[in-house]
Amino acid sequence: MKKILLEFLILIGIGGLIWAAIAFFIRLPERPVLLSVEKEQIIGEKYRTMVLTLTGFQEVKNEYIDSVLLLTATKLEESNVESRFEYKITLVDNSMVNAFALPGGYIIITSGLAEFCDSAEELLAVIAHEIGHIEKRHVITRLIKDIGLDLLTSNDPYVTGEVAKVIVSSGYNRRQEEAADLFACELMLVNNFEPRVLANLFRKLKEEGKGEFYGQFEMISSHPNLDARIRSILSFKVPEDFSPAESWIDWEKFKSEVENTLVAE
Amino acid sequence: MEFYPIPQPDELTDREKEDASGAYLMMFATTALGLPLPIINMIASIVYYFVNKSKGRFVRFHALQSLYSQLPVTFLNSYLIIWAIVNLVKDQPFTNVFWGFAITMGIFNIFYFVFSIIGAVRARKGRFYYFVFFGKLCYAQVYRKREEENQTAVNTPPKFE
Repeated sequence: MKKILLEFLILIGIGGLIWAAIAFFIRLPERPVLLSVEKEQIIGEKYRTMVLTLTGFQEVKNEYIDSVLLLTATKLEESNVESRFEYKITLVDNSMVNAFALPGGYIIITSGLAEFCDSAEELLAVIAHEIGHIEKRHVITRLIKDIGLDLLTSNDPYVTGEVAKVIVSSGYNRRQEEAADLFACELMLVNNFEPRVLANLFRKLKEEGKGEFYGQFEMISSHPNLDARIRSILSFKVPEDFSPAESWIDWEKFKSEVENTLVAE
Repeated sequence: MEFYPIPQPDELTDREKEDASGAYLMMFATTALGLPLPIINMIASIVYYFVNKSKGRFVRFHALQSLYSQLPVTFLNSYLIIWAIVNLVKDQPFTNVFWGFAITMGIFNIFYFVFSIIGAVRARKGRFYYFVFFGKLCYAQVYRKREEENQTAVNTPPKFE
């Protein structure tokens, strides 16, 4: 009888070991993705063009700003070893404090957000948060779920216009936002930036949220439990010997270029 | 611990060999029906065992081994399906722990199928085939001599005191 018990324990042990080993080494998508990365990029490009035609989403054209956003996209892409997309960041002329991700690696940030941020790190944290949504396929899965693949891939200009409005206005669930926050903190840390600046940004938005823009910012509008998210970001562990590096963005120049460009326009 | 002698292939009838082999094959027949609820396989195995258990220890051993080995596989497969449904309904992520479990179950199912086929072939030839753990467990349960089996029943009057 002892041998039977021993074989039983061996069987359970082997099963447990296989389970643990696979769980440790495997990297599979957390959600069923119905679309390839390539197709998502095609869809993303289409909707980026469409969003930029919407009222209040005119692209800010400035050589310096473009070069900074391109450098930011490249640096963040390079530092994210599991990156599946080529990021493209676009600044739009909109006074709302807002940022959102489109399918396929496209990120839109508003001039309102650039002006609202106190440092380059805050802006980078927001961009990293949006990258989190893209990499974790939150954007495309949400759109497929909300709109459906047929409408999303439609070439009818009226349909794509309406879908673009949905993309701009809809948010994520709490779990997805928390996952994107964590992703942003990790990506910030990899780049040697203070990850917890995101909590500072949230706090400012919450404090000034009584104003016009609170509720319009995708990152927080879908989240009543902002305090919990701030707590979660603040409890993100950074190494004891961590000393933040300076960002590649000349923040004063960037902000003044944004302001000057908007005045000129 | 005493055991009954195990029969040799030439001591078994063709009917016994077929019934013993059928215990494993029946599982394949109900697989298509059992998906996505593998519990149907198990119900079929239980019915098969109770219908055939009186057809001799050889048949009983194989039917019981098929049933016992199916129990954990069925419960774990059902658990995996429920886990996946809950994740989809609640929009929860399919974590590495989930995928680890799913792949482990896939491996276990493959082994289970392979061993079942071997078991069916061996049983059809009138041979024994012992699965890890389940083989010994079923042998002990079917072939072990029990004291109560040797005792003749004795009727006694009711007790008044």
